[in-house]
Order: sequence, then C-alpha cells, then structure tokens
Amino acid sequence: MRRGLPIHLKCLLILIAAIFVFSVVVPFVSAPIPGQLYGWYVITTLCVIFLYVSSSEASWEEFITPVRNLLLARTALMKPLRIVVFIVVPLLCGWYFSTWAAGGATPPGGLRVIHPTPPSSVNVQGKRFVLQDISVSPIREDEAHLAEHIEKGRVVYYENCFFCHGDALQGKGHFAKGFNPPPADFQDTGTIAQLSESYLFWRIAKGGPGLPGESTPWDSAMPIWEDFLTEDEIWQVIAYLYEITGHEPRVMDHGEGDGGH
Amino acid sequence: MSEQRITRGRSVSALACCMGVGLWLFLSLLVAPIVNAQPTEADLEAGEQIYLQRCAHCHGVEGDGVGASTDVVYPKPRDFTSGVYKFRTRHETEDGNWLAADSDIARSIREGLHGSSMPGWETVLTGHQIDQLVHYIKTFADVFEEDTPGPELSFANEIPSSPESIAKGKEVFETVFECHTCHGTDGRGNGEEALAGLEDDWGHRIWPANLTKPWTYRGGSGRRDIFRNISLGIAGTPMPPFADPDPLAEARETDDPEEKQEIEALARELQENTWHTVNYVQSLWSYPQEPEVKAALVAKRVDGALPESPDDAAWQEAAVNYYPLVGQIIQEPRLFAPMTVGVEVQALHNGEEVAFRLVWDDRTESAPGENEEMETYVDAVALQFSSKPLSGMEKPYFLMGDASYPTDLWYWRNDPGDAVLTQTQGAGTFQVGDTAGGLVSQGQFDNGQYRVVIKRALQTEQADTEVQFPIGAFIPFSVTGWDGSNGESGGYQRTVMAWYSLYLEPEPSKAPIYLLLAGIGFGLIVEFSALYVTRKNHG
Ligand code: HEC
Ligand code: HEC
Ligand code: HEC
Repeated sequence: MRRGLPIHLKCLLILIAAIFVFSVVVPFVSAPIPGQLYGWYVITTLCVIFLYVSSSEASWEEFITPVRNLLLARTALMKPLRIVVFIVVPLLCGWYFSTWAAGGATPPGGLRVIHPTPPSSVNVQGKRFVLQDISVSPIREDEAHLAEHIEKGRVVYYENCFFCHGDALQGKGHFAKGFNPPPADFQDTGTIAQLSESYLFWRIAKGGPGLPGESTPWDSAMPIWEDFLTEDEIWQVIAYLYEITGHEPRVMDHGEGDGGH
Repeated sequence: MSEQRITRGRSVSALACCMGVGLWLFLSLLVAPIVNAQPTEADLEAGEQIYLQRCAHCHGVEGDGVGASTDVVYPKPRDFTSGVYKFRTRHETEDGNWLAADSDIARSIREGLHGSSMPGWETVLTGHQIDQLVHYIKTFADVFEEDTPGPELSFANEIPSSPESIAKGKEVFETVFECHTCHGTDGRGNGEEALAGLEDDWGHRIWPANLTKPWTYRGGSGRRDIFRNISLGIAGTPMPPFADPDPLAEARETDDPEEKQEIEALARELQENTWHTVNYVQSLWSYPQEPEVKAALVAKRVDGALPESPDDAAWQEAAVNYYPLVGQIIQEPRLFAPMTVGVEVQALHNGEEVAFRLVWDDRTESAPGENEEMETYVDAVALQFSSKPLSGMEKPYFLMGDASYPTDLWYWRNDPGDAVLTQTQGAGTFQVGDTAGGLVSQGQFDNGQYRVVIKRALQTEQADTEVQFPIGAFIPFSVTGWDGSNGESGGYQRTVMAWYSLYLEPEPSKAPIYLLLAGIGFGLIVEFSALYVTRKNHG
C-alpha cells in the first residue's frame, strides 16, 4: 500500500516545482509574472495539492495522521512541539497579514497585449489596404529588383529606426532606454518571426497610436511612419528586417493576434 | 634557446626544436591567423564585407564618416580616413603620430563608445571578425602604412582611493593639470573654455565630458581608462595629453645616472598625480553606473510645511528616482542630438500639498538670443500629468496627450523663474500657459546644474480638468525638458521619457497593527478548532 515517496514529501516537491516554474522558467521564456498574479498562481497550486491529497481515503489518512498525532500530543516529545507550533503559526499568520497590507508602492503590472489582432483593413496615405489580401509584400513580386529594395530598406532603417531598435536590431538603440514598453527586439523569435509582412505593414504605418486599447497605444513610442515614409519605403524596410535577421515572414491570412502576454 | 642546443651538437634536441617551431608556426597559422600579423587578402575582404553590412551606413562606404545616419547622430561617426582614434594605449610615435594599437581599435568596436550611437559589437560579431574589421578600417588611412604605434603606456605606481588621495587629486585637477578650465569645478563639463566654445578636429562643436556621469564616458570608466585619457589625451578633441610623449623616453637615452634618476622621479610624480586625479574624478560620480529606472516614485508623507527651496535639508529624506531623458524622435520636427542625459526626481507630500524636486545637469544657463550663430531659447522643464481623472489602464498619449485625453504640464523656465500651468492636447497645441494654476516654484542654476521645486495643493477646484492627487493611488507622471542653447523649444524639440507612476504614501496607518492582531487571532482560531475536532473524533 505504501508505495513511493511519503505524501508530505510529494506535496513539498510539487510546491517547489511549481514555484520554480513561476519564478524561473516563466520569466526565462517570456516575462516575470506580476506580483498579484503570482500570489494567485501559488494559491491555485495549493488548492491542487489539497485536492490531490484528499482524493483518496488512504492518502488523506497518510497526510493527516502526523497532524492528528501532534494535536493530541501522543508522545512525550510532541507536547513541547505542540506548544511551539501553537505559538509560531499565529505569529506567522499575523506577520503575513500585516506585510501584505503594507504592500506599498509596487504599481499594478498592466497586462499589455503585445500582438493584438490587426484591423481587417488600413488606410495608408489615402490608399486602402485589406491586410488579409496581402499574402506577400508587393516588392517581393518584383524579384529582379529585390536586392535593390532590400538595400534601400537598409538606408530607411539607418535613417529612421536604429535610434530605438538598435544597430544590431536587438531593440537596444541609444534612445531605447527612454521608452516603456521597450522597442521591439527583431532578433528575438517572439517578434517579427511570428508575424506576417502585412501585419508589419500595419504596425509600421500606424505606429504606437494605431494600436487598440488593450495594447496601451498611449505608452508606445513607435512612431506613425506613414507620416515620414512612402508606401514603398515601408515594404523595403520590412524586407530588410527579414533579410538581416534571417527570420522568415509568417505567411498566413487569418487571425494573426496571438494574445501576447 | 634552440640555437644554443644546436651548437652543442645535440642533434636530437635540434630536431625536436625544429619540429616544435614548425608545429608552433602551423598552430599559430591555424589559431590566430592575424593577431598583430600582416592581414591576408582574405581577411581584408572578409573585413570589407562585414564593414559594408554593419558599419558603412554610419562610417560611410569610403570610410569618410558620411553614411545614412550621419546627419541624425551626435557625435558624428568617425571619419576613418583621418586615422584618428580617440582611445589608445600607445604613446606618440617618433614621427609625432598618435596611433592606436590594433587592440585599442578592437576594444572600441567590441564595447562601443558609451553615450554615443556607436554600439558595442561583441554581441553580434566574433573576436575574429572584429580583428578583420580592424585591419580593414586601417586601410582607409595611409598613416598606418607609414608608421607603427608608439611605446605602450605604463600604468605603474597606482594609488588606491582614499580621502587624502582624493583631496590631493582635487588640488591637481584645479591647479596642476587645470582640468576645471574645461570640465568645471564640479566636473559637469561647464568650464570657462567649454562655454567659450570648443571644436573637434572636424570642426564640430564639442563639449567636455560631464565627469559626474561615468556611463557617458565614451572610452569606459575603469580606473585605467581614466588614467589613459589623462595621460594620452583624446585624439581629435581638445582634451590634451598630460604625459605624452613618454616622459621616461629621455631617461632611457641618457647615460648620466643622476639625470636619469631625476627624470624618473619626475615621471613617477606625474604618474602619482594622475592616479590622484583618477581618484578625484571617481569621487565626482553621481552614480557608478546608469541607475535602473524604478517603476514607482514614492512621495513620502511628512508633517508640517513642505520645503520650498531645492536646497532644503528636508529633501534628504525623500527617495531619489533617476530617469533617462531622450530626444523626441517620434513626431516631426525630431530632436536627434539632445544634450540632457537624465533627470532626478523626488517628491514629498503632507496630506494637503505635494512638492516635487527636479535636478538635472545643463552646461549652459541659456537665455533667448544669447548666441548669434544659432537660435537659443530658455531652459525649461515640465512635469506631465493627465488633466482628467483616469479609470482602468487608459492614459493620455505620452507625448502631451490628445484631444480626448489632455495633459497638464507644470512648466518651469529659468526666465522668468515661475512655474505656470500649461495644458496640451498633443504636441502641436503646446503653448506656454499664463496662469500659475496654484503652482508655487523655486529654482536655481548652480555650476552646471538646475535644481527646481514645484508644489501645489493635492486637490483643486477644477477636479475634472486638472490633475488631482489621491493618496495611496498610482498616478502616471513623466518629465520633459528643454535645453535652450541646444535649440530646444516648443512641443517637439525637447527631451522626453515614458510614463512612470507616482505614489503618495498613505498616512502611517494603524492598519498593519490591526491586521497583525487579526492574523494572530485567525491562526489561533484555526488551531483550536482543529484541536477541538480532533479531540472529539479521536481523542
Ligand atoms: C522612438 C522609438 C522608435 C523608432 C524610431 C522606431 N520604433 Fe518600432 N517600436 C518602438 C517601440 C517602443 C515598439 C514596441 C511597442 C509597440 O509595439 O508599439 C516598436 C515596435 C515595432 C514593431 C512591432 C514589432 C512586434 O513584434 O509587434 C515593428 C515592426 C517596428 N517597431 C518597426 C519599426 C521600423 C521599421 C522603424 C523605422 C522605420 C521603427 N520601428 C522605428 C519604437 C520605435
Ligand atoms: C549608428 C552609427 C554607427 C555604426 C553602425 C557604427 N559606428 Fe562606429 N562610431 C560611430 C560614432 C558616432 C563614432 C564616434 C563617437 C565619438 O567620436 O565619440 C564611432 C566611432 C568608431 C570608432 C572609433 C573609436 C575610437 O577610439 O575613436 C571605431 C573604431 C568604430 N566606430 C568602428 C565601427 C565599426 C567597425 C563598425 C561596424 C561593425 C561601426 N563602427 C559601426 C557610429 C557608428
Ligand atoms: C581643453 C579642454 C580639456 C581639458 C583641459 C581637459 N579635458 Fe577632459 N575632455 C575634454 C573634452 C572636449 C572631452 C570630450 C571628448 C569626447 O567627447 O570625445 C573630454 C573628456 C574627458 C573624459 C571622458 C573620456 C571618455 O572616455 O569619454 C574624462 C574622464 C576627462 N576628460 C578627464 C579630464 C581630466 C581628469 C582632465 C585634467 C587632467 C581633463 N579631462 C582635461 C576637454 C578637456
């Protein structure tokens, strides 16, 4: 009947594993979990552990017996231990309650959608573009001059974008530190590698202010490039971004938004 | 070594040596093909390819510093045809040339020139590629063919930092080397010569470094970096060398022991003075590196009246948050070459009023029309808030809002020095206001630094159209600045930063004590009920 690890050790291991995932793995693959949310995740994990423990009579018994023994002080050693536990647990509760209230000045971590669903069509410089209909960028159709277009895109980039997105296209331009959210890192697999060229066209032409509310347009420093660049120049810089980073544009026509994180 | 052995006739070891040398040659060809050796054609070609891919848009296809980005960065990308490199560890050559060693140039490429647009390339290029680039960019200037770098700078006789050494360093800074004529007595780059106008070798206006901000030292802020800059100067700029040519060179030539000793003693004194100065320069640092931006500015709650003067001792109690300021490059006309690096912000409140203290460095106290060559304006700063109460995530656009979400600017300028309330609906609508709107301010310019206090009541009567400050809530704020002598004015030409949060500390409440008691009570109830239930069922 008693197979494997003692149940208390199992619970502890589950808890440690969960905390490891929340505080190390998640921040590593995406972004750190904001404080309040973190608390909820831990509480959820505790609930799951409780469900697991109470799932069968046997495991519940195994779990509760030592607690019961302690409460009833069944051995001589248990008596002083019970006194200690009875003093320490209320103090811990008190400490937790009061520090939680004095939580203080951590601003609520807003959840910003990084890649919202694009509009179905955009008006750029008086011309209407139905994004779904653009499966590849028009300049790619002009294959004979593609290299030239890319070269022009490079110039566009270094006249306009590198202050923020950086020489190395990692979002570390010399002005990047003034902005929050930070300029996108194009080398990262989480940005243009996940997007299509028509999506980029929308984002570049309309900039930060063109984002929907869930993507906090008021915070984004991304300029509205239709005010500065021609339509061709926008397609050229897009081609340059994919060329220099080595990423492939995603070719797809529907439901681009992945909800971000 | 190998020759000696051969003359002794030990042919075996001679053979071994020959093989060893052969192997060494072979390995060195494999492992380090171009370390301080003549680059091969292939290296130069590889270097050219990387150069065209990564560097030409700034430094120019011809290496002349004219590329796509040249007009939109300050300082300008280097013109490699000049052969001038700012940072080097080699003394003047016998022909009087200041030549950087390959390792110096490689380091600048690897680490970048801090505080300029020249990035560090170590995350993108391998050490080998960087060596190939070094060889390639040297081909732009003939001087590298005609001459070889001079003797290495010695970093001997280092003196660790101590209060005595710093005091001595200050003396040397001001009376022996006279660094203050350019860098100013507090090191903010505002010395007399700086204000009179310095130019670099290419005719561009140049400002001496602000020594209080080491993260803007182009060539790094290590002790040896500072020592190197003082000893050898910064080529192409007015910053002169203080130990070049090598003061010991003469000692090596003379046969007279007494003269030799004398020269050596002088050289040693120079080195020691330089190290004292390094210690002094480090003591001027406001922060050892650029501080991390904190998400919330906490306005501490104090009793009694809030300080009106920026130099009031009460400010020592308030937390200091540093925010970098960058050029407004989002809307036209853009500001590509800001002079302001960042601003320190503090806040205090007393339940009735809130006061902010803003501190930033500016080399010049500008007045309109003071410079005939370029338009100058007043120096100014503004705190920005949302004019309307906010709900949910929404905020005004961080560049002065828009029609549906206007912003309040608490605008202070050095002349006249009174803050006025300025409301904007986008940068195009910026127009300095004409009423104080309840703002009380005091500011001063002091040796290259502005310090300004602006305060107001937490609540005003126009609760829907002016910012209000609820206690214990997070209120978006940001700071924007105008450096008048850099041509900054109006809604566009200014330095900006993102929204961050202001938090007014609540009254030191009794809540934590109650909660402590409640927590203890909760723990006890749980325990005794568990005890009761267990006793009843199993006892
Ligand atoms: C003033 C700084 C700034 C400049 C200049 C700038 N950007 Fe951006 N950009 C940002 C910021 C900040 C973001 C991230 C916030 C957002 O998505 O709006 C961003 C996001 C983007 C994205 C979206 C990436 C994604 O994963 O969703 C693209 C594409 C982009 N920029 C392209 C460009 C191009 C092309 C240029 C030059 C023509 C440029 N940017 C110039 C600041 C800038
Ligand atoms: C965004 C523009 C930009 C790009 C791209 C760029 N540089 Fe620079 N570089 C500069 C600027 C600006 C300076 C001058 C800074 C100064 O004088 O303070 C500079 C200076 C230099 C220096 C002189 C260092 C010294 O000691 O004086 C070297 C060497 C250099 N760059 C090499 C490179 C190489 C190699 C590349 C390509 C891998 C490159 N740069 C790419 C802007 C750039
Ligand atoms: C004639 C004016 C002048 C004098 C005198 C002078 N400097 Fe400078 N200094 C400059 C200029 C100009 C720069 C900026 C160079 C640049 O931007 O590339 C500078 C830059 C620096 C830097 C930053 C270097 C870097 O890596 O960017 C340091 C540190 C420095 N000076 C220290 C000193 C000290 C210490 C002295 C006295 C021993 C001194 N300077 C004397 C003009 C001067």
